[in-house]
Amino acid sequence: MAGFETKEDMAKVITLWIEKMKADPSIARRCKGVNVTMGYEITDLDFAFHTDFIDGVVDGGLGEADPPSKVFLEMESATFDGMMTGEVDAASAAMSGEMSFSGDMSAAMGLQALQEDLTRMYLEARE
Amino acid sequence: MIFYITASLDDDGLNQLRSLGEVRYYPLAETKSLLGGSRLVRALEGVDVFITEADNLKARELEQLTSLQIICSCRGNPVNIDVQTATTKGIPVIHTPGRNAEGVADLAVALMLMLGRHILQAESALRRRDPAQEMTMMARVYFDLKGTEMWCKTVGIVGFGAIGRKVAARLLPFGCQIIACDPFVEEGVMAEHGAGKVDLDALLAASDYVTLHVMPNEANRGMIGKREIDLMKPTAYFINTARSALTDEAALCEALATHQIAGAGLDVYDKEPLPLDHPLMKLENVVLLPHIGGNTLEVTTHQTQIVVPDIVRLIHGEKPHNIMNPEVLGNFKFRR
Repeated sequence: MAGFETKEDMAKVITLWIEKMKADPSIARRCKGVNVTMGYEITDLDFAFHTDFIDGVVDGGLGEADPPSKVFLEMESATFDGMMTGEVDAASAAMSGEMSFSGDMSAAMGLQALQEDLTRMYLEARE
Repeated sequence: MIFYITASLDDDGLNQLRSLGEVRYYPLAETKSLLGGSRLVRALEGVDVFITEADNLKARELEQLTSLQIICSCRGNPVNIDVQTATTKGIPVIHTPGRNAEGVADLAVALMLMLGRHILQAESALRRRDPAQEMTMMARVYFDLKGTEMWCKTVGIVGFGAIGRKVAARLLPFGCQIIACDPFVEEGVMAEHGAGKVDLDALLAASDYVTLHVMPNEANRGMIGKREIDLMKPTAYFINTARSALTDEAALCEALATHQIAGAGLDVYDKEPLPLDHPLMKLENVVLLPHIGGNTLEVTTHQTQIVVPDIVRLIHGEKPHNIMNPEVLGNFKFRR
């Protein structure tokens, strides 16, 4: 399972990923009516970022969101990378303690419909 | 002392805890929000007793918590707690076996009645009838959906713990004959609950309804497979409100699709929620539910009645009734 060597390496991929999401009409269409903000804390790199899906508008950025995200995920960079590439099952990662989840459960479930698109764009950003 | 509570507890239990210390009560049912990682650690700073249902308290969080003295997981199997790390730190982990027993027993019996009386098909026939052919619908219901009563039926209960016994208690007034198999329960105990002890093969061969109430583990994984299903009567119904891991789901699906057995009532699956394109979804002789067995309002009261007395026992230096790691009790003394 690949992770990232440095915070800067990961920041490059995440920035590109967010840009791709913001420009993608499919995600915008699918998140119509959705209101989920996700905060990520990557513990091994001391790195935070957030992705926001608010009624058809996608946004995000590096650092913590203001106001704070509704859902927070904490994990190492390799676990995040594995979850996004499909190598790591999110439920199993949560049960094993590799990933911790805080926040609004129903909001997080609202993102399930976007997962395929998120993965596709993450893989593109990672290439 | 400080109690941090994210599980639902009833007013009696909360008041009892308030008489002992400060209660911080944020039940998941109201907040719809889970705690994990650094946010959980921050929430539990200075807390003595944590009562949860779904928050994940794993090694990383536990290592950072210095004040925590008691952990209570309101689940039968506290998979959300790293019991091993808690044990290493000398923290007792209380759990709540049987909190769902009434609800699951109710549901198992409901599924039997739904299957035996073709309730889903009958309801559907009424709702979706062609107004031009009302008598045809009535005739079809009368002739094709004639049900069976529970009277004089043999119900085989696999696993005769808290839930299995409650299923038996519900069914005896219907006039059912109850047989059960459970290697850990003596024949005399079963007899006290109105059940005859048999082995699994005999149970499968004799039962009109087979209902599973077994805690899954590696030893009983797939205990109901093709060989076992082959032993069942073609008129028998299979009920699973326990765990899918106890069955070979593909073999069960095949037996239902070919009408080798009459039908099934299922609340648990290999993958949940059951995928829309799963073959079980196409079968009319199956009642499918989205894992609702223990989801009742009364579970709040049941888990309160299990967990609060155990907390009081621990605080008073007594042995709790439901503890996952009794080995910590030798050195445990609650710090006031």
